Amino acid sequence: MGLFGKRSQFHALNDVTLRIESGESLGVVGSSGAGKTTFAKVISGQVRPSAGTFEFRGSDPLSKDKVKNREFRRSVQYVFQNPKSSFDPRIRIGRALIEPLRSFKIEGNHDEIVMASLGTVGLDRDVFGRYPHELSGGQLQRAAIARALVVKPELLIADEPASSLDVSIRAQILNLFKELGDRGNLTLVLIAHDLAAVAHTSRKLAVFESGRVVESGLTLEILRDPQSDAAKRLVEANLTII
Amino acid sequence: MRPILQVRDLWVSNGRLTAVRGVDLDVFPGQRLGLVGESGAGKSMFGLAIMNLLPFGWSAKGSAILGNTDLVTISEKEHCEVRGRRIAMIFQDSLSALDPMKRIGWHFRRIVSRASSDGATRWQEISLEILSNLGVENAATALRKYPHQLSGGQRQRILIGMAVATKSELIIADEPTTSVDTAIQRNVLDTLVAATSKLGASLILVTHDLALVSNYCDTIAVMYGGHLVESGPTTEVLVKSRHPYTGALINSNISLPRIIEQQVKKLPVIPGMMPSLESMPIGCAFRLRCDRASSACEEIPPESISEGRTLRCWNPK
Repeated sequence: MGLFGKRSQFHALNDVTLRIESGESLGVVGSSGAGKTTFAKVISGQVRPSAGTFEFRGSDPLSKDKVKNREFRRSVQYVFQNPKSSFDPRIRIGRALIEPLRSFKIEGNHDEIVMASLGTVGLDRDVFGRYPHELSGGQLQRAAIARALVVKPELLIADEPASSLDVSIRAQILNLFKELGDRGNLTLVLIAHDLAAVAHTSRKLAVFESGRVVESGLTLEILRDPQSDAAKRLVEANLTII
Repeated sequence: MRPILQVRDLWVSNGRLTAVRGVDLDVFPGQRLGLVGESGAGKSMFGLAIMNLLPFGWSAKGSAILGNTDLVTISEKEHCEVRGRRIAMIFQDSLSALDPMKRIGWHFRRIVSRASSDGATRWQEISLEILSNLGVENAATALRKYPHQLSGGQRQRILIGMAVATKSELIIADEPTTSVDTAIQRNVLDTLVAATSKLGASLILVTHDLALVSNYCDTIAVMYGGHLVESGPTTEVLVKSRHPYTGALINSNISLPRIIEQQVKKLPVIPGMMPSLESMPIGCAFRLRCDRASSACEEIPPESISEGRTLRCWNPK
């Protein structure tokens, strides 16, 4: 019982079964409220499923085992939609990127690891000493991706990483995700409501609607011949130039 | 045909920075104009200058003539007679455009009773009619709700309804669909376009999305670094763009069919980024990112007009 009588239950996700292979890139699409973000929160350990199981590399990562738990939190990293609000405005980029290394007690020369990570996402070394407000939206999103990569995660989850960015920069960020995915040592889950974004970056696709996965499989096959109404609607809603 | 809005040599600056640099633009009755550009191009400031809603410290120079009124020179008091009567604006963020403490009905009542002679008594009927024309389900219930109780798409439709209720001759919509998802985006725009044409109003759609302009506007105007770099009939400009920036923008648009058919390895990008207002290069603002740039580009190119198309470039395609 809640304070105001019996709480009604709302299921943001309903009977979702998905298997993500190591090194794969999965695009998650659906309209707002379909459960995409909740799904991302479950697989990143931010939300515990109320029923059913979630396994990471064959075991439950949300166990009480502290070491295992910590290892899971390092292996799964998250990139948020709005880079402006995912950086502390008072902390320079370099320090913000060293933070996860310290927190996970990763050994080695932290400055060098961070510099290398900035290089991976195509940022200059001088970004290290800059404050978030000194970078453009696209640069800052790159920095956010670099921050996720410093701890060498196995799974990278990005929730609408390009939709707050300008068109010309959006393509750059999506190219970066495609590059990361193509390397094969990183599993990518990319959430978007824009089909074109996931079509470019992800080999596999899961279409969500009202908390359920209504269609999943190879991205190109689904886009060429969508079966479910939700997928058809998404393909139809996609506007093109002329 | 006489334009309903005639903008000539419009400048917007705060004394130190300049956001709009000498824009000329005509909007004709019933026209749907897509104003495109990346953030920082000056397109929002252009809209705000027309509305006389510029942020503190910013002011406009030049002229923007609506009927017989010059919107740039009239006083704020005179502007109150224009804003919300002859020009209406639909803002990007529907949650902050509505008063969170007031019901939707309150918003409509204020507008309708001002716009229609019998509005004070019949505001409910009139708003219900507008809302059901816009495809808002349970319009009567919606009027009793607070802004936060509605979904983003519904709120955006409410804002369109409010703009329509003003019976304005010009509606400026600033990125009306960036905060709603793609499936609803189309629906919202269909609604907006149908509502403006029913009202006989002209529309300026401010957006960064070329695909929207291609589908919903008959005319396109591309802004970069405060300049209007190219404008003309949408199809003509998109099929045969002459300014290198327009071309690059078209190229960088992520097209689903292209991805499916050709399985692009790398999406085309425009190198570099839009210069900030503090570091605008001398001459053409695009020259540092342009592959056709020459020494001539160090001087601002003049505007050339031919066959209904305008262009600001020394080395057009």
